[in-house]
Amino acid sequence: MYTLSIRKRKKRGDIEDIAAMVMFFFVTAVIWQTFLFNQRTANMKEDIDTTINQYLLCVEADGYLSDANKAALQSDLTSLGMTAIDFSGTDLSTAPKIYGQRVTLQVSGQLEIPVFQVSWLRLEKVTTPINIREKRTSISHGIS
Amino acid sequence: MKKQQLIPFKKKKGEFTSFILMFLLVFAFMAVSLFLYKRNTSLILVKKAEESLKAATLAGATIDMDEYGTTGALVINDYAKSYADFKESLKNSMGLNDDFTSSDGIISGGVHVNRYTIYNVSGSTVECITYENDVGTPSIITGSVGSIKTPNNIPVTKSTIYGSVSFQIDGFVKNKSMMGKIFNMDDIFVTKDCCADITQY
Repeated sequence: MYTLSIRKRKKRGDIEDIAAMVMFFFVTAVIWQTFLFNQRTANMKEDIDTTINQYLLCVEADGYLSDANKAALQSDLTSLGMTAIDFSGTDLSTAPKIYGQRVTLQVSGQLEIPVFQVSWLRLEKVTTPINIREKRTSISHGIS
Repeated sequence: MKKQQLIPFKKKKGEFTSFILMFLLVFAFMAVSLFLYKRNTSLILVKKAEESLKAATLAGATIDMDEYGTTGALVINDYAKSYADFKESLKNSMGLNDDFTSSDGIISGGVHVNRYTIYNVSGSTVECITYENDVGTPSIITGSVGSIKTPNNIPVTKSTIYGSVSFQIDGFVKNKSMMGKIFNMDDIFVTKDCCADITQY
């Protein structure tokens, strides 16, 4: 009788311990996933910032975003994971700014952040889109 | 029979302890993750502020071309435009609202322009036009080349723009707490300044 009750206790205790462990790992996984997502988003946004700042120098020098620079910037941003890139609000070659006038470089689009999610007890890699809208202004150093 | 009655009591005690332990572990893990995230975003923000200030300082450098054509001096005569261009560039680069507050939840209280000074060098004379603490009217003083220095102690020999901004990053824990002091997780007060020789652009 004594032996039986000990066995029973151990088994039930095991299940409870396992349940606690599973809960722990689940909560930890959710926290870690959120942390990684935010971290990845911050780092990817930083890369996009740096890229846009580089092209702002070209816009300053020319007084507009040339077609070649526009294509190059689009290509760079695509390689960083951006989609649906739009340059609305940017000073383009159709309306160049003379020396001293304010120039604008505006980029909007969606950034695809890779994340892992559990689906039917399988770990799948998916992407979560977040909206990006970056605006930079400076003055034109182009020919007056 | 007695033994069977004692067993459930022991089991409940064990359960409680293991759940408390799990809860503490989850809490500790969450705290470490939050701290690392906050630290990383703060570092990125400070770097972004530095780059934004550099870009904004250059954005304020509109040389008076008429004066350049007449006297050959590279000076800024439209102070208000220069200051407005600086602020507009800073606002856009740092992703701030019109009132210079931030909606990213990291900066508290907004970004303050402490000082924006245009040093116009013409011959051996330096004219210092200073906007301080977001006041719209500048103070103007004149000195000679060599006697005037920027706030970061650089002697002014060529036309230069100096800009200084400050902001506060919310700490991971509340101000003046023991944890904040030990782990350096208090509010961070950031001051950045930049000096740009405008004759090179």
